Amino acid sequence: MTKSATRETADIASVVGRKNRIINGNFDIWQRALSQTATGYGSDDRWLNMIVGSTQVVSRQAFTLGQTDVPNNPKYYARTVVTSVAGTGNYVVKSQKIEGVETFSGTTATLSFWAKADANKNIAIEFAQSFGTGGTSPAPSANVLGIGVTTVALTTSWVKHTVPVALPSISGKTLGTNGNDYLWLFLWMDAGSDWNARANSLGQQSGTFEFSQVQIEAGSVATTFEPRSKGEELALCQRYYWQKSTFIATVGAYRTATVLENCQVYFPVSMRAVPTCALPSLSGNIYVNGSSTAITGGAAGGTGLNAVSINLNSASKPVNAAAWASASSPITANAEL
Amino acid sequence: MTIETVKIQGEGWLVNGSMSVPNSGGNSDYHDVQEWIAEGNTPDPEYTDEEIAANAQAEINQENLAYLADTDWYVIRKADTGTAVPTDILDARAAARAAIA
Repeated sequence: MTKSATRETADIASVVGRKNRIINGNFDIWQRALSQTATGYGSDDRWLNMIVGSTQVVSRQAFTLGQTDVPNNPKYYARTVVTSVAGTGNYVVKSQKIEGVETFSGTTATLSFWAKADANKNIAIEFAQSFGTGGTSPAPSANVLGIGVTTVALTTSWVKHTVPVALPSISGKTLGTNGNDYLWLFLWMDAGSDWNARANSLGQQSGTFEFSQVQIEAGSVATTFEPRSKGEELALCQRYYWQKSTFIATVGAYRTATVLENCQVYFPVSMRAVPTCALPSLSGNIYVNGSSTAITGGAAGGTGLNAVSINLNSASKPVNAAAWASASSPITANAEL
Repeated sequence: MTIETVKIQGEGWLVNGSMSVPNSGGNSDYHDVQEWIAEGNTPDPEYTDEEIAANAQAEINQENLAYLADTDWYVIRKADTGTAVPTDILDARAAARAAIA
């Protein structure tokens, strides 16, 4: 028996690894929270859960140990409970922005995922290409929307769905200069009529939608889901978002009257772009010349791809004195697309 | 990102009191701040007049406290040996004490 070229390609892809361009497709990483209701990034890493008008409850769910409905023993899956609210512009979408608009451009790629719903229900798949921002002559090309718009019928059982998509060439397009271009995957669950062209006239519906093992790979064949180690997956996610519940900086520092301290906190991996950093509740002490003074606040100062410099405030402000600080706070660094 | 307050912070902005948004086009929050400004909003200054005054006074205080500490040995020497503190030092120490608020 002779294998087809397509089959051989699929066989090779299934063993060489790094084929899946979706990050956190196995829903193992939930740095921000285990559930969310607001629109935006808020629970499952890298997944942008968007709503307008309708409501959502996104949450992490655990598979029963030893289950065989979904292969490869995934530990978690993502659930979205949609409560649809009538409105032509309303929607609930689960999406992911894949860094680099060149991803699979001019070729066929295949999306595969396991999914089920609380009843037989449709969802719609869409891809878009965004050419980023920055630059004026010429300006970045406009987004290309409505790529590969397809309806997928879910049932109440876990089923693997496969959606090949021909992604347009980006030849002749203009990239923005800010390095924030991307390929965008949309999983439409609820869509008012304004979105008919992009959601294949899906319409509005409430329900519970569950997703597992989302993968997009080169070629027209969906191969076995590529598992990555949790450490590797976490590092991939941390390129875009990182948080610690508490950091403690114990550092040498140099002090002036206006920039009080410069505590370096290093990120675990280099981030995609200079991140937004938040330190919502700084506390601790600054020690100067053998005496301590309480930290009264502070904020991220200079931020780079690898570290953030934190400026600390205190009531006492010695000038040009060597100091060190023991400060703690939750800290987040956000460089999502 | 829902923006409630924006304050200049170095080359970037402090948004909603805790998020430091860099002046970098690759950052998605940067674009939210730019849209907010384009809507006609104006970021608050990095320091209020009161904070600028407080920082300036703190710097004055620290410089003068440091001078007093550096010249304390004249006073101790006088107490120990009776050697007089030079007049210019006495005048400068008086000025330093007067400047501290």
